[in-house]
Amino acid sequence: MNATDKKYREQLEHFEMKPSDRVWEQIEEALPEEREERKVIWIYWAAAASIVLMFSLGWMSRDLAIEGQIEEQVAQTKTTDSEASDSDDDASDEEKEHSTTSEEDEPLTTDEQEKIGESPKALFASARNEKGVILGSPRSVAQLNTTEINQEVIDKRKKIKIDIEFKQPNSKTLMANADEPKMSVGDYAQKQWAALNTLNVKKLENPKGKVELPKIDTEPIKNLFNKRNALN
Amino acid sequence: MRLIKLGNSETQLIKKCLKGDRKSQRALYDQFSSKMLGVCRRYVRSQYDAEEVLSNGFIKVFNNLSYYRSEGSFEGWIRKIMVREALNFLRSEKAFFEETEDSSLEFMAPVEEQRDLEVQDLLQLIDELPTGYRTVFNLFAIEGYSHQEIAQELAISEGTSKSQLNKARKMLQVRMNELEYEQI
Repeated sequence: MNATDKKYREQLEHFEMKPSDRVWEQIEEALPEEREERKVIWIYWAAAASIVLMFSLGWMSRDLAIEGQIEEQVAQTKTTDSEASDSDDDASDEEKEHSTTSEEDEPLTTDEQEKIGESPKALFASARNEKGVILGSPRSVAQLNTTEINQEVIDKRKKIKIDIEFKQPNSKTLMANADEPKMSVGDYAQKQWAALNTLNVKKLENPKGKVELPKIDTEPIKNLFNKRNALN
Repeated sequence: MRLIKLGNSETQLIKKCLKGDRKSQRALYDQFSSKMLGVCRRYVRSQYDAEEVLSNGFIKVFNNLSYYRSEGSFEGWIRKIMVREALNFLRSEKAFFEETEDSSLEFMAPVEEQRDLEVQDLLQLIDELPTGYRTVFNLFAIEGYSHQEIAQELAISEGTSKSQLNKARKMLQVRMNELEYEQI
């Protein structure tokens, strides 16, 4: 660095000029539109929705949604009718045990298949096997006396089932519609999402009130009952 | 304490700019635009072109803000982007860095207001230099780059960088003497 360099550096290093307005205009034009915040909120909503969906799918895979609720209802019915010896607590304990053992749908053995038409347990097992959905717990059914399995009980159960579906518009009950084994996960998620979207938000905030869900297909369940009736 | 406060507010400003907050982007522009136009104008001879460089430079600053690591000074980082942008502009204009022995000195009438006569005079003398001389002189004498860095940046040899610097100095000295003589 010689004297010339030094002179220039001292003078020009901090040399400033005020740019004209058009410079900022050009910059602003090139920058992305200022809508970031809205985008972020939208993304959060999408993330929340997908988490809800993932939970729903998880429940479906465990077959717990329908089974648990029906068992609970059956247990309640039993105690109110004073027909069963078990208390509610015992029943729920048994549910837990059962849910751990019934995670996989094991094909029926030949012996069990031969029993079809003989015991209610086998009947429910066969229904479950055919349709890939659990209607009721074989165990809980087995606890009832054979004589109790009559048209009246079946009607009661059918009624209970429908009540559950229409009372609670949460992800669990939406699972009632999950009994379509051949449906792809994507199709299923889309269907559930469409159903969620048509729900009235105000009603969702008050799940205790009577809420009417959009039409949910109960035909497969009814069919199963019909099949069982035919066998009887 | 004051310095820490300043540092924090700069970090905050950068964060907001990263989120796309227009007011913060404007604040950052206001803080540095005059200084940076001064930098650009030393390399590029007209204010109009210097402003083009400035706006392109700032667009790069905003688009690459996420790559800024607060290791060096923020101003230094912006300045580097501006210098690089000015060099890109000069490259696009071509006629660059050949060992031109006989580059004619173009005279450009100063368009800037006469705030500081001495600064304006020196700027005018720099403007009169051929592009190659001016660029190397700016990089070496004012920005403080080494010949090695200049050679890398401009894709020339270190020898070329040194010879261009010497020629620039000689020319500037001659013109400075003339100017001082005129003023007496």
